[in-house]
Amino acid sequence: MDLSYGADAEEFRARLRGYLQDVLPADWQGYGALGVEDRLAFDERWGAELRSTGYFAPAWPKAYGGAELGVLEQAVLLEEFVRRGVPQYTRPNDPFGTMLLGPTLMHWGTDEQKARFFPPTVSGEIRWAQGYSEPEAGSDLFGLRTHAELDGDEWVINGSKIWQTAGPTANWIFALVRTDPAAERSRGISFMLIDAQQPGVEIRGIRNMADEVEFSEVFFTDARTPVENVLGGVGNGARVALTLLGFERGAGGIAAAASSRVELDRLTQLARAQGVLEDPVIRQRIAECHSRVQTMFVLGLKALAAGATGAPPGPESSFTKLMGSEYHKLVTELAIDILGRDALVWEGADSVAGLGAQPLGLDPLSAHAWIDDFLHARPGTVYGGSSEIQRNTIAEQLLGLPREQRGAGAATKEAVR
Amino acid sequence: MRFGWDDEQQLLRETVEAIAVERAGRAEFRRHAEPGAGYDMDLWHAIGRDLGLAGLTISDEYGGAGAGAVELAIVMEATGRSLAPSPLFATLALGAAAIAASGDTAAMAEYLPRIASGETTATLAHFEDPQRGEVQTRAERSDAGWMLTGMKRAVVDGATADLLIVTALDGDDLRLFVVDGVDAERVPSTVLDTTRPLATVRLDATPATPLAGGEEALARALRSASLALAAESLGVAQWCLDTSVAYARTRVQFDRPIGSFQAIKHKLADMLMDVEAARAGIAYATWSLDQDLDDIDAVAPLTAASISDAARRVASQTLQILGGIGYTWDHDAHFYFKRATASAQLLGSAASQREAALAAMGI
Repeated sequence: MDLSYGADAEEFRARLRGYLQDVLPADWQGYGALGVEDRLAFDERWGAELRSTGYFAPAWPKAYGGAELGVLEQAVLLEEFVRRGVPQYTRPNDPFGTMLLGPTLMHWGTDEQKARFFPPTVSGEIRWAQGYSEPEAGSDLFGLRTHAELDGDEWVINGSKIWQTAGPTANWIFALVRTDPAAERSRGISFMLIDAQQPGVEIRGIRNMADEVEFSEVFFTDARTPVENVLGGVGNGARVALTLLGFERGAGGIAAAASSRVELDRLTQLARAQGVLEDPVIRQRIAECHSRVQTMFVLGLKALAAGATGAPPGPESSFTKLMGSEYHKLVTELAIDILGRDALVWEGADSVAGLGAQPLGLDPLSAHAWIDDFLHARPGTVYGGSSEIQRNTIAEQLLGLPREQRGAGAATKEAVR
Repeated sequence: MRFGWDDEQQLLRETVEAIAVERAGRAEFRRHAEPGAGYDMDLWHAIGRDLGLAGLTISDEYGGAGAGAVELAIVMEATGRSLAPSPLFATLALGAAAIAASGDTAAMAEYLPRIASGETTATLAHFEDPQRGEVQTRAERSDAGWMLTGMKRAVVDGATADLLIVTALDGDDLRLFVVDGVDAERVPSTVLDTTRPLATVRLDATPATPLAGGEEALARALRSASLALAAESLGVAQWCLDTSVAYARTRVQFDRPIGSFQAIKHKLADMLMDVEAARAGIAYATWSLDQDLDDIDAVAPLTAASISDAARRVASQTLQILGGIGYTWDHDAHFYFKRATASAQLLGSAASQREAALAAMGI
């Protein structure tokens, strides 16, 4: 057993620390400490820096503009970025291009598709949103109904998608669309790249409970995309979509644990300032949070070790999202309790991160930011596979328990009515 | 980076698991559950003496194998999974650990080889108060030597151990002493967890030999013991999970296996996560201990507390999934449930462990 990163990765860590020391301002306190104007300026500069180093997509081959880092180095990079409060993405649509569409394009794209879509994805000229969920297809994704018919050399798309994070700022959408009406469920679906800037595509922002418009719904009315924009072949969409999920091997768990540690430090500072750090109940709850973060860290390490050796993923890779999202609800609930009546008023510095923990430097005493986090944490256990679906999957795939029984289709709907 | 065991560790695991599972099967821990039944001496000879596990973590300078916390965790998990009745935990993880932690080389040279050979059993007699680690037992020095007066409770193997490592106050200082088992008045307790014998040990001007160490040595011994205990609890939890899954797959009600109902599925998913988290947690903590990493004083108690709670949850849910039969004496589940319950209190509550972790983090 050897749970150290090893000499090579530690050497990379030392070089990276040196680089960050050089490239960041001398008085750097973390991205969270920047005021609004400074943040915009920093985003501009840092975005360019990330592209020049390839760190905006650390796992990508250099040929695609990435840094081609190994799994251990990826983890080191994410850890160090979090520790210094440096963002991995500077624009809201970057994660979708980098973590989702990019790897899919790499795996399934033709040379023409890669040449067409990689450069503008990297430059940010194309800003992606993910079009999967529909009003009638959430957990039951493959019940989706958005459909397309072939008209010459174009697909004509009709239907709607919902819950696209960063939809309001997107100009392209990658979507799962039913292209064979006779085929059922996961069959007959195609993965399509659709230009959102056409009359047939309407993006409507949705106001969330945190009073922000950061996700959207999209309506396709005879929208069009050329046949060349189908990825992975017509009718192969389900496989293409599921491949997406295999790309992140291990480094994510480590990064989440590192962010959670920064968050817990901020929370401890808040507890101290609110005068409740001596309260035994609060202390136990803080310690419980530390336990959970430690658990996420060691499971992340285990996934990382598997990824580094190319071994198949262990059970821990099925726990990351479930544990992380449930933890985030727990810790933000604790934050509300620590705030007490301060949790009733939106006062203090705005939050910076829309999803996940706030970065280093954000005022730990800002009630506004903690309330934002508390609200943002609520849908965490719903999107990306709800906690209930995650548990079903764990029980069925890891423990071999029988799969859920389905209803009888139209007959069930009739019976319920 | 490698999370798995190397070949030697894997072999250790397979060997000890085969013995523990085979010998300490159902009849064994039940038979030894009767009061005053004592140990399965055959098992102790097989694993302690013949396999050399009595000296697993004792330095090879004193006749042991010189292995670390990682290896001890492997063995403890197997004994937990099988509830193997043996003096291994008390002798090695408590008694020998306290002697080694004291740094008293004369005592180490005298006692550790006898323990490593399997001829001498030992334990730690420290706890008096049900909640706190406060000690009132007093040590007095006279011409006849040191003498201890006080009462220790919930001493693991207290009635049978050849050597008792006893904590006592010398003035204001907490010190460690060695007491010959036969010199103390030892009353076996009627225990909730019949698979782990406990005793009350009464000291009344009982002769004792002082060890060099005190508070710090005790803390180090308890730290490693709590991780060994956590590894054992992992084994207990693994048995519970395996038993529950097997039952959920085969027990049919309403014309389908009960494991096809979502409520049961979700419990089992949570139990799997608890077990896997414990497994990764104990691997990391024991590796960290062997590497003497800086944050071990926070990581060890945090891990011990997590696993303590996880084992209780898993055992409790096992009884729930088993339905009526889980409540019977005849089914093995209650032994595991009681072990998880008792282990969670033995060396200090999870809450006190969490407090210790916070203190180590400067919070």
